[in-house]
Amino acid sequence: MPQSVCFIDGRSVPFAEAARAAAGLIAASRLPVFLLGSCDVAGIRAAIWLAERVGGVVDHIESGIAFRELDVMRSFGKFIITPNEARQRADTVLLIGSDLTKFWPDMVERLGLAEVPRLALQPERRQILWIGAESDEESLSRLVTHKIAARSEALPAVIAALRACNAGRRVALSVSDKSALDAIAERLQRAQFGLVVYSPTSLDVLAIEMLAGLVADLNKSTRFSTLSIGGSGNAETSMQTAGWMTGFPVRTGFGRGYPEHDPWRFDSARLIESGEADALVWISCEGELPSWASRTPLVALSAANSAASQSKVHITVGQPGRDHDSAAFARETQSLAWRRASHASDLATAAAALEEISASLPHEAAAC
Amino acid sequence: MLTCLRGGRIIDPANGGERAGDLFIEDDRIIAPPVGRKADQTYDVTAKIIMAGGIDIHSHIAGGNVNTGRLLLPELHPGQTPSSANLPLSTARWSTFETGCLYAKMGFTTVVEPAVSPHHALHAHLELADTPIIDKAILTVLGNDDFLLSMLRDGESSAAVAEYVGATLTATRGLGIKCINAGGATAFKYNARAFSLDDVVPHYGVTSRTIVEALQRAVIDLKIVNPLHLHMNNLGIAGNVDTAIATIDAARDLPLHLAHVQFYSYGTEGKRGFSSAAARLAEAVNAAKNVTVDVGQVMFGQTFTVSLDVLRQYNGSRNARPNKSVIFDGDANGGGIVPYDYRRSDFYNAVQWACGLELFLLIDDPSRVFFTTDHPNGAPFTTYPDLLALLMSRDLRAEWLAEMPRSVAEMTTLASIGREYTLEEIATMTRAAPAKLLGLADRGHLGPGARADVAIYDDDKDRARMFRAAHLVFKDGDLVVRDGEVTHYRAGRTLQSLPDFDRGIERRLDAYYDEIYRAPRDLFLVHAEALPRPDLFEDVGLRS
Repeated sequence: MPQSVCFIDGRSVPFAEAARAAAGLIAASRLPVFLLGSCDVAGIRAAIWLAERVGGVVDHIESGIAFRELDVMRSFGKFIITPNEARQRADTVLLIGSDLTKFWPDMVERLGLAEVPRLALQPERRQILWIGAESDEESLSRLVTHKIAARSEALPAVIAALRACNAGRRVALSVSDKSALDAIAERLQRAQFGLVVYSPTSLDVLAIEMLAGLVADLNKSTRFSTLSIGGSGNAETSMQTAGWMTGFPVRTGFGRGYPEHDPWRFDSARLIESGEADALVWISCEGELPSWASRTPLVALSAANSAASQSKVHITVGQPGRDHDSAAFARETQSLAWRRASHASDLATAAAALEEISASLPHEAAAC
Repeated sequence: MLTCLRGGRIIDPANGGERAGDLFIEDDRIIAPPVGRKADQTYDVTAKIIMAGGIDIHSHIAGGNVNTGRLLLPELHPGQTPSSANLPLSTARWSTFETGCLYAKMGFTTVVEPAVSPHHALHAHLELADTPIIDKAILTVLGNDDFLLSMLRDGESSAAVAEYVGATLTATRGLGIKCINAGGATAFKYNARAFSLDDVVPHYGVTSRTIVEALQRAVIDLKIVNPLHLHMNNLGIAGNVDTAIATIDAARDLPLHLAHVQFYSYGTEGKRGFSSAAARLAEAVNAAKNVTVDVGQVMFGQTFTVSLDVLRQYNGSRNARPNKSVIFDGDANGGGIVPYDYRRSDFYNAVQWACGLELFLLIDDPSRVFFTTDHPNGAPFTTYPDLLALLMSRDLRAEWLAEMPRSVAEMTTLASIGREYTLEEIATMTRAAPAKLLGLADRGHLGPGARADVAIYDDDKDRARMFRAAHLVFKDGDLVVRDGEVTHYRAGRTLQSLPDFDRGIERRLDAYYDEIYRAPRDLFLVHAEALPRPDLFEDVGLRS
């Protein structure tokens, strides 16, 4: 049995007892929500198995941001690229919005923005274009060849105007300086391989779709793709794992005995706030729970100091890649990758804790 | 545990054809009829058809691009049926769990996912680990990767290329090597919109032909049983039969497998400039004994196309139905996911349907033509029973053809072909021949020592109904399907080839990854312990 640090109502208990208490709470629930955070493939699999068994709901703490991306993909489509491929090819990089280096501190290095693209036919210094430069990001500013300042709330209109300029259409000049936009559009059209970098954290769905449309337009005559950054990659691990296990991303419920996906119905915050869900299982080795989580009995499989005070049952779990080996989404490869434990410990994995809870469920526990 | 299947018609082309009699299973193997022993259990299968478990050599069932298809098209696969408690997620449509169950129900027990980029191999294996019952394998895709193209540009030796191919196959735990529009995905990154056999990949200065020859040679030198699987250039384009025939010539009498050739069987005749050239292609395949093909049959209905031929997928995206697609410029091949709705009333789709059937019927040797719809590209694999019925009945084909535009019959030879596949030919095409192609000595047949993967069908005149739901299916001697329903999950194996190669290449690759990918190569490898069951890999051995 994995060593762990477990509590029921703040009282230290053995792992098995905590798992039994969690199982009891889940079994008694009409609709339990399994809310994923930082978790590996094994933990997500175990959460989906358990949610399926008890007719619960699976969601991710970062779904709100992740669904901006997904909604554009499944309504319009996408051009996407890996950072490695972008670094070697992109002779023109269009950055959208501020704080990109905050979302991805290694961005300048990983995308090689200061370098000559290795696989370009005529290797030259990259053109770095920046729309929505608001804060003073020193590492970027010195690389940028064309810049249009815009506050984040003005970005959708500027992106729309840029797409119009690129298509040779008339634009309302109130949103920006047309000559600056024309200069950027001209640079985009001269790209041999262009890259658009943005964060869904600072753009809404319509703005992301407008960017996707701009990139689709550019691909009619040259090559372009997009790289979305922001978020931690945790949501991506959950989306991918849920995808092959259920056919759907998270925000999927199992109450009818088969997976149903509905971003509104199975939004964990809405389910908890409305009272539709009456138990929450939080599975994340890092991060804090939002305030709405305190409205319902909580089972927390989380780090030692996280959510311990507000949870009915708390099982301390290890951090994937640190305390134990794990498969999870890696930004370096833009795919699922295996990492060995950097500081192996005896803390339970989220998967082991969920499997123990599942094994502790009464046999009759099934979908409502 | 000794099991007796009593009284069936045993269709076993690898062991002499059809025979009547009892078939014995001991534990996970077929055994010769034992003398003086009483079976622990007996199934009366009098007059039923017994075949080895089916083997699908080309079906896109797992991996990042397939998963993107699931997430792109939620509206196409809403759930409808609750699953039973012992088969969780088995009714989750398009899920890996459903895939394993649907294959098992049809009597298929081994399926190859034929297009895995090396950098997405772990993802594909994680999905396959969640695909129950059936055994699986992946083909590892090379031919648009910077490392190989650079080697060919620099004139490195065939031995060095083989070392690289061996190292990549081993690292990704693949069964064989696939090449997809050799150089074409890379050329697309340089804005090429078409790419043929003798076109040159920009930056590297090597042709598609050079890449194919190098990979074909490496697979042979590494003694991998399964030959190079090739997705040729110019997929889906009118007149591309010339590319296919030139590619067959380019194989220089060495083993080569051509994937989904239906998509390369098009001529340019007729007022629309689109016609069937399947007869010409079949003739070329009949003459080239070194070549095997699978068909990639089109069947009608909504599906999505998923391919690492990103150039072709981009060109196809303008015809997406529904109109949305994902174009992925990945490391090396990338991929494109484009939904498509094949319509019976659409002249082009109907010609495609006819082309596939012509190939099945005009290629003489059923051991060199394989049964695929290139799932999901030509149609979902769940249409196999209907396709089998079409191959076995000229009248059924005529019924279908009568419902299509008249011009379809004019642009193809289908109506004139009287051939009807026999059960033995079906068993050759879907069992014996694929096992031989992939190097799976203990599968695809029912002789003593064979793995006890066995499908038993009712001898139903409605062949589609017969093949849709097997009467009984055994996987490794374990009864997993009864009366068309899966009884329980079991974990299938993943088959891999482990060629011998000089490990010196690993140091060079480590340095390459550090420099080019700025990440340790280890991050891209498939470690067995990364999978829920590390013990389920099986080495299929090499050519002696």
